[in-house]
Amino acid sequence: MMVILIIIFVTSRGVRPFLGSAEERVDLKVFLTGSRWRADQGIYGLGFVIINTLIVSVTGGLLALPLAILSAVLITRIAKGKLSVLLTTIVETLAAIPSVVYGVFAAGKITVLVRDLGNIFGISTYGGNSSFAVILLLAIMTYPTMTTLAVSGIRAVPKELDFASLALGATPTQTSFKVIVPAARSSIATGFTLGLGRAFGEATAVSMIAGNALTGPSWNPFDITRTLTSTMLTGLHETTGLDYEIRFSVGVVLMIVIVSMNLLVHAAKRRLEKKGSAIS
Amino acid sequence: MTRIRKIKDTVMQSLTWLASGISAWVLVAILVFIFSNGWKLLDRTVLLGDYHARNIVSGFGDIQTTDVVFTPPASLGDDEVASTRYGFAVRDEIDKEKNHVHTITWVDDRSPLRNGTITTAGPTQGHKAPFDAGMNINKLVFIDASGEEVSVGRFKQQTPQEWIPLLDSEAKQIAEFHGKVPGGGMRGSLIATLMLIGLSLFFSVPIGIFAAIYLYAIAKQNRLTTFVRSSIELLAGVPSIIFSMMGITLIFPIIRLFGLSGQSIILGSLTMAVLLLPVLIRQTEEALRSVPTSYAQASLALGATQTETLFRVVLPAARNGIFSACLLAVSRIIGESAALIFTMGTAIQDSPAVTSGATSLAVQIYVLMGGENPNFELASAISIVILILVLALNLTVKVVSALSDKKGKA
Repeated sequence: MMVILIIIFVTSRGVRPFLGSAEERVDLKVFLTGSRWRADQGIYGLGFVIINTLIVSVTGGLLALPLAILSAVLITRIAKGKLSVLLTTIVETLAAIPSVVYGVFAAGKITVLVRDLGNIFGISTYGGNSSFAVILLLAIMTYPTMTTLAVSGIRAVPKELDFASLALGATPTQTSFKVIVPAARSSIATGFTLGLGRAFGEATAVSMIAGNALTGPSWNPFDITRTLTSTMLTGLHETTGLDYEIRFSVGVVLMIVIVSMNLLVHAAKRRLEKKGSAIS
Repeated sequence: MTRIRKIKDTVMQSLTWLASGISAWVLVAILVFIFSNGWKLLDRTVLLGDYHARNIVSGFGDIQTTDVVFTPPASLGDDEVASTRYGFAVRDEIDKEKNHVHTITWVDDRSPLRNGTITTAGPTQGHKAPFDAGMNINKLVFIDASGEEVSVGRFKQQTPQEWIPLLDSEAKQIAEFHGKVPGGGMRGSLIATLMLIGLSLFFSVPIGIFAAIYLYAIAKQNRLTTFVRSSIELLAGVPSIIFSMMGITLIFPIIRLFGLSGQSIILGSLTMAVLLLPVLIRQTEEALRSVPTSYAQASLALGATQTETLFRVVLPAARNGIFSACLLAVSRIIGESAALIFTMGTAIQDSPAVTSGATSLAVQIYVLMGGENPNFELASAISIVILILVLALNLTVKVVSALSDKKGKA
């Protein structure tokens, strides 16, 4: 029930800026495709923000995915006993760290790292606040979710598959990567979706290091960026007026982006599964 | 096994080690960064002090200096200068805003400076003025032998080594004290977080448990139940910033009916309650399902009704799991920031009230990191507190579940 209420209420609040009186109205087309966000001038173009969000979240997720799969293989199939427990604890601890703490770390360490890296290539950065820093942060934050799901997926693969592969003469490592990981792809895909959801919705940590670009999209990873969530959070001073109301519209867009991303991954997963069943 | 196969295997294996190594390294880097930045700062005054500094101006009426000679404690360091006639010691320090301050490090209980009253106009005028260790002295005005007022202290760029001997030798009577109770503490946010935890659990735990019982025992396998279940799943995947919008648009009008307006801890905790529900329901239901069916069958066989069995047998047997779910909920509340920024506001309060806005520890960090000059030290100090609490809660959950596993096996 809550779900429907949330959708109805937030949406109804979110469409308000597009229906209001003439001088307070925001053109929906400009809002969705615009490439400038100047709250001070009353220009609200969210288009580039959507693209930026997609870029940083998906890149962050794709960066974390191989790491998560490799770690999951180590935890479930290579490491034994205490070591496996230790590695699991590391992943669980990373998952338990609240996002503000990640934000403090990102603002203090990741940005410095990115700034130094930029200096090596002779690129000046805005103190390290950049898409690249956001991507690294999101990769770190989505990694625990993906690893946990991949571990449980690999654990659920029937032993027979393992034995059959070994009996056919494959080495244990070959078995892990060629048989077990593909067999667990459904869980891995679920983990990827959950991780992406976290990346899209991550607000406080990202807004600390995004830099909040006013125009875009920018394809330079060392340039500052602006995501949907950082747009919702930054410069929050008053609780009335267009600048406040527009944040609800951004929230609606965020929900739409997350839902369509879920559907997309779901469709991809289904195709993967079809292909898998055709082989077997 | 061919050589190429062997090399390939070794490469893949080392890659897995590399990947896990990176994650371990990131974890260590986070912990080292947070602790190295915040540990120095984290002491009693930061933990239990106010965030906003308070200036104190106090007068001393006609209190004459007594002839008592105070003996400073032997533990005073070389950099601390003690006044033997007035019974206090100060040290030149650099405060959190990088300014020189003269911090009181020792005050004798009988020190005449403890008898001041606040002279600034306002509700506290005439109250006893504080003069305690930890405060900063900016200026002291005394009357010398010739009846002239003399001002000494930090505001004249004097070092303690200069002005304290002057005070001890010249002063006949103290006239005024200008000082500051330094800010930069987290007590207000700590209290607000506790209020938030209490209220959120009060709102969400009963609903969560009853919803879980409904799903476990009462709900039939039909489309409505499936719909409710998938709604709960969907709710769990909604980012917390959307919940804060929901709090503003949906819960805010409801609590306005009760006469509350604006951002408040109540609004924050109701929002948190909704945010926690999916996790609470799912884990409670899992805890209920893990109770062996033989318990329920035995109870039913002894003649208990369905409801009695549910509430007297199954629910108590699942209490460990439900307890764990509550602990995880607490840890989620402590770490939550995005859902609270909209609903509780970003104004740091030193004495929070349930009906007005305040910041939790996590939101205070967000506020500290937001300005032109992020305050890393204090943000890290608060992060340490959050990390310790959250990790301790998670550890407790693990221990509880390990214990109940053992019991189950026995």
